[in-house]
Amino acid sequence: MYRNTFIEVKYLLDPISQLPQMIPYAQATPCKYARAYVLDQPYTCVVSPSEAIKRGTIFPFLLKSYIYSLEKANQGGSAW
Amino acid sequence: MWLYEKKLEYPVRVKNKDLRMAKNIITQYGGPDGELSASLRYLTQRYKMPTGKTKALLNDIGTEELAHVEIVCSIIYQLVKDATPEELRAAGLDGYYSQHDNGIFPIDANGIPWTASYIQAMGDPITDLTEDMAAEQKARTTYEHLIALTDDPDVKDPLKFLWAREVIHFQRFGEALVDVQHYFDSKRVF
Amino acid sequence: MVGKECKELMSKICELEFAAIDLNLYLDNHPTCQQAITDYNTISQNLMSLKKIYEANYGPLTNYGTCLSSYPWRWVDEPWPWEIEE
Repeated sequence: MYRNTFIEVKYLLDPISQLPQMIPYAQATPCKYARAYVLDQPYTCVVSPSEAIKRGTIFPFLLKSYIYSLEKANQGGSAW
Repeated sequence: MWLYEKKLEYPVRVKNKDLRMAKNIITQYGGPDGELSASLRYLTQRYKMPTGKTKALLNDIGTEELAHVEIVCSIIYQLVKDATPEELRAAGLDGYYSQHDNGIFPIDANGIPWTASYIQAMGDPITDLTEDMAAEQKARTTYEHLIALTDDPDVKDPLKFLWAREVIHFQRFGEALVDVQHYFDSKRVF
Repeated sequence: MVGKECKELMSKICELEFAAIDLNLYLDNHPTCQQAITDYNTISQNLMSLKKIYEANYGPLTNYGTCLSSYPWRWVDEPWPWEIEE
């Protein structure tokens, strides 16, 4: 009844973290002192809508920096 | 103009009453780093954003945060549903009951009511975006603390969803900050 | 009582709308990403048609002139989103 024509980008899941193995490489831009920078995100490793809602994003690789913290919290502890 | 959509951004189905957890989670409604603060912060700051892109981003994240207010309130509503005054007293919520019954009012986990002093609009987009990035990190940490305080998967699930949204919003505000810095640099070149 | 078909349809709508939200935020920062626009349009198209089916069968998702109502005024139908749906 409901056809979903969304095209999935193929990627391999890391067996332990269940995150995409291919973490996109971001290009370096000229930076200046006394400024904050976040890497510009390329459009890649997009997961399907049904998986996205479970992970809280269509780009789960963005979560990787904080997964350790979440796991600790999930076990009732603190990463710090 | 806003349109209400009669659905949650993420489903909430909490089966077990847990008044203590409701008392903790309510900070993500009415606390300094909660969703109400987040929404009003971005929707207030958007007027001074310098580009169409940044106005759109603050508008759209501010709007998504309103949906997060609704998710948080839904969790609380379901956690305290049908609680008796006696049960609320046992959970340290008799003061809350006195003022609000088991209605849902924006306070933090220690009972402090929401105030506009939790947010800022400095009129400097670099300063405002930097505040927004910090706000997303503080909200992420709060969700981690809340996740550590419960074993109920019905509660953990939506909290994890909201946790992930904080990280994504941090990335987006960071990209916007870099873009605004670049925009000012290019404006100064003549 | 909310039926199984209604719940399945709503969960599909939630998935697609969430993907649209996340793509929307990406596109706000990257308005020239053609692939993201294509994906956004594909998802939005599917989402719009599912919402139409949902609203025709189970009542309006939005009000203020965006959706027609049968008699009696269906916007007031319960449950509201924060109420537990078994």
